[in-house]
Amino acid sequence: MAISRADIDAILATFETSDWRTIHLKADGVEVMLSKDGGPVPAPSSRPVAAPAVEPVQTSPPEPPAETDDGSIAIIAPSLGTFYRAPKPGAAPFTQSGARVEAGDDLCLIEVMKLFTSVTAPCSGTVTAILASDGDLVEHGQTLLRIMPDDEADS
Amino acid sequence: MSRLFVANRGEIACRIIAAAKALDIETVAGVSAADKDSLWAKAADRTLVLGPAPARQSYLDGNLLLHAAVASGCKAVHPGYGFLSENAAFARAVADAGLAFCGPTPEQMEAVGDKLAARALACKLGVETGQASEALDDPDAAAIAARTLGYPVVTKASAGGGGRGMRIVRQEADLAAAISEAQTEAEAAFGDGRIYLEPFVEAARHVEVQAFGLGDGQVITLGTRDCSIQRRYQKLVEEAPAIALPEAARADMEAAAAKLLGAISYRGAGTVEFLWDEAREQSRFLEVNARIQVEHPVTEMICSIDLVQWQIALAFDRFEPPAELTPRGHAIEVRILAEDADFRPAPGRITGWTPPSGARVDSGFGTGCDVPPYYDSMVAKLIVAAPNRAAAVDQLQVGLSDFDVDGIATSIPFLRDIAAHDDFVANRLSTRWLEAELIPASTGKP
Repeated sequence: MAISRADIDAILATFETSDWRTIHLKADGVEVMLSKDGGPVPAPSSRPVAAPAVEPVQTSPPEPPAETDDGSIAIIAPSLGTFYRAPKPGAAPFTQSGARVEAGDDLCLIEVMKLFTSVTAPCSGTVTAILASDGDLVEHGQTLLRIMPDDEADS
Repeated sequence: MSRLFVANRGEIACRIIAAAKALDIETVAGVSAADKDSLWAKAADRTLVLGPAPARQSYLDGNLLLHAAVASGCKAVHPGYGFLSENAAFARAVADAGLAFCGPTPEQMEAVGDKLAARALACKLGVETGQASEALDDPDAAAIAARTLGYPVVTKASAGGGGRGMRIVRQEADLAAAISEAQTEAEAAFGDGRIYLEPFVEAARHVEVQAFGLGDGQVITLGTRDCSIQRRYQKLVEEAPAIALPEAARADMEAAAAKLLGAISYRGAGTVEFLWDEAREQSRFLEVNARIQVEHPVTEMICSIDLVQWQIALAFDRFEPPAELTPRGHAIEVRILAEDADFRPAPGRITGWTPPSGARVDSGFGTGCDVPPYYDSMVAKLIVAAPNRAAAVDQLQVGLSDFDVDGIATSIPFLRDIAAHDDFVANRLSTRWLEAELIPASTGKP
């Protein structure tokens, strides 16, 4: 059984009301690290459920999607980090070239000192290219993937 | 191949890269998106864009910097000044990742980073600290402390620096409000609102000792600097040596600095700051800056050394203390800021950049460079050296009149006024001179 967003929300809520300082949970290809001990400021999360004291599984801060000549959207690295196509070594990649994605689907992970940020699809469409390799050091602003949005692909 | 990560920007990033190159060490510069076409981004062997322009998402994000340093195969990190240079948690994370840090250990940073803790250490070692209160919390205790010290007094933030939390109080009626303001300001700036009081000295000079610790208890001192010309506690002009003081007083300061840093086996470049009370001919310890400072070049000029090379060599276990070191002559540095005549930041594109020939200019900018609005406004330092102060002042005047910058407003016209002023030429200066004498006289405003 895969862990869903709702499950993570429930973990967050439990953690927030508990006396625990940290949680590190690994299950079914999902890794969750939560800490109430200040520490480095995490990248701003776009998740409204996250309380400020909690470091949630991060999602990428909204990067303005860059449209290119062919109408595809460039998915940009929100910060420098190590690029991962799969939730863990040996697991199936989140997506691949030619695959369909829905808005909000995880596309890849960016790791910064063991903190994983998932990069999600800004719209539904088809992945047309994956431009970084698993384990690559990528820079802020680097194009990781391209997605052809549905409306463009249909027209 | 030895490789160094540069965790800073501007002139100090350029300086670090040049110093590493001279030691045959490769550099990787971590930059923000705003600095990806900067001179230091081009000068480094490799440049990595960390994150967007705001410092919190780039130069102040220790995890990003460290990830970039480790992933690019660097063996050491140079933090420069400002940003994370005195952040013990960052220094600790760098050490934990197995990299060398061009600076003191996190424990040393903590031992001297807190002003009250540093004062206590200095007291214990018999270094003159002058009177001061403990950290204050209730107004009655503060009133008693201020009466004991005698007005005027000045509030200081224990966690502080850069003038934050500092208020001059001349009478008891103003004390409670000043302390409360100072606490709020210190809390906002440092997350630590502890405030204490010191007597305020009207005619004082800010004098500091450049030191370099080998980490084993040995400390090399490299003479004094006089940094009395300040605006809002920000230094604008720095000189070496501090010739306004008797030679014996300067020697005492150097000995005190060596004792203080030696006691904690301090590692790397550090500065011990003192206040010199001109009327009483007394010095007292102020604080330790556990990093390379902006004004380090004046010391380099009179000692004929490269302090940044020393830092890097020490981090790579290649440092060899010079056999002989005798400071000679006099050096002056001025900070050139991208600021208009009203001291407001003036970022923009530099369309013309003509530094004076024959003088040392440490800069991170040139023609065609953008000065982004997100960071400190300093764009360059002009440094002159001569056999004596009078000759150095002449060179400074010539250097400033020959320095042309187009496209952005700079503090060069203001610095020319300082360099030409009779009080400056005669070295009749104090920490209050700029704000109490020069600025009111030149603008007609207090």
